[in-house]
Amino acid sequence: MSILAPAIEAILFSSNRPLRVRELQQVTDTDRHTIEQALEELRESLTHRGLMLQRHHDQVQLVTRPELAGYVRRALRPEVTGRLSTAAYETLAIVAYQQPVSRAKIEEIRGVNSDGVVSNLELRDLVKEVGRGTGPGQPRLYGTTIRFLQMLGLESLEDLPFPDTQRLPDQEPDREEGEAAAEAAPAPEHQAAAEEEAPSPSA
Amino acid sequence: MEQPGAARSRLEITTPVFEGPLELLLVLAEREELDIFQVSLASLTEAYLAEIAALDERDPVEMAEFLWLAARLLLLKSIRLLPGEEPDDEEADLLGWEEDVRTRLLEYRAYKEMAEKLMERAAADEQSYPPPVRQVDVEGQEEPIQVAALVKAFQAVLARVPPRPLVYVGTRWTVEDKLAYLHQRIEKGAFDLVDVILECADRLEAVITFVAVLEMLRRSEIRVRQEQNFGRILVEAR
Repeated sequence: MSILAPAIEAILFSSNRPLRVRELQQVTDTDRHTIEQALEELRESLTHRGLMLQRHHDQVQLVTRPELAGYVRRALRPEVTGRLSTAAYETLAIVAYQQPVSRAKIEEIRGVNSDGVVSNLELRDLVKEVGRGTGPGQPRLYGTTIRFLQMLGLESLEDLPFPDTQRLPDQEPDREEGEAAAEAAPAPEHQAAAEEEAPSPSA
Repeated sequence: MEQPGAARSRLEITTPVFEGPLELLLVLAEREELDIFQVSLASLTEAYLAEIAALDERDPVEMAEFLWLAARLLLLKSIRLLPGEEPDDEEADLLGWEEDVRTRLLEYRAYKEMAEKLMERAAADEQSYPPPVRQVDVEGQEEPIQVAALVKAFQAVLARVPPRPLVYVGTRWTVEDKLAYLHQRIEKGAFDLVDVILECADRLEAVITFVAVLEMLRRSEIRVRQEQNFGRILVEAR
């Protein structure tokens, strides 16, 4: 094991916020590939430990393992956040699988105005604006946050409950008039989970 | 948001019977155990009309969405009831629309299922906790200060400062004065941004104070920290 993996562990442990891979690269004076390797080493070395390496796009952070949440709660009694509505979970699901996604697209899928729900999720730091679309009016595009992973106790976006793609309309082979309909409502591409870099926020 | 009142009411309704026409249609199709790939939406017309008749008084804008779909369903049904005629353009459009709605229902249902999985996951209450916020910053890696977030916070507080008095009292504020004041103040220790704004006599003074804070930020004389969401916004010397 290189010195880099424990070094990253130390940095993340003492950091007061999630760090970007780019920042780790800078402070350790290494390249992207080396850092990714070290992160993977660190991730594996934590397998039987109380902590795990959480990753959201290019942000990483050390967090407690979700299965130990009960112990942490008993010991520290962290603040309990309010429950989310069904509408909020629907919207979260759409943002999580479609990100980056505009409010208009969310509204189109849910068939109902979703501005209030999106603002609420934004306030709770579960989704945030991650950039602007290229379409008319350059609509704000939303994506998930690392807080979203924490709430669900996920290691990364790849650990999202697997969507039942069989049931998405695009997967149905023998549908009539499929082309026009598919164009009107394109099925989500599940690229979000595989994406490495978050879209650069409009600074 | 031309109707702030309506938007607020939507937030408060946490468990509406149906969030929108699409959800209602989906619930109906599933109640009848119909295959969405096969079902003629027209066959759902009766049930749909019965449900919206039973809806409690709603926001007219939302109600219009329900009614619009009802009208389309009725038209669709009338076309189906008169077979044999060549569909004209409008009717052909409508048949295409039915297919479109079906696709949207399928997509919506897929997301509803994902939402349920997320909900189950959240119900398990297996959060992962990040380390608490501490005073150690990674060398030179301070996250760029989000001025937009500061401005937002400022705007929220500004409403609590009295507006400019009608009787002009001749007090004038300059950014230089405020800078001097804030420099003095920060020597005594960190302060809460909201406090200094609320101490202002009127909104003009509040704005000038805020501009002074931004100026100090620009000159790297201070840094602004928020320990947690919704927490205090602390201004401290660098």
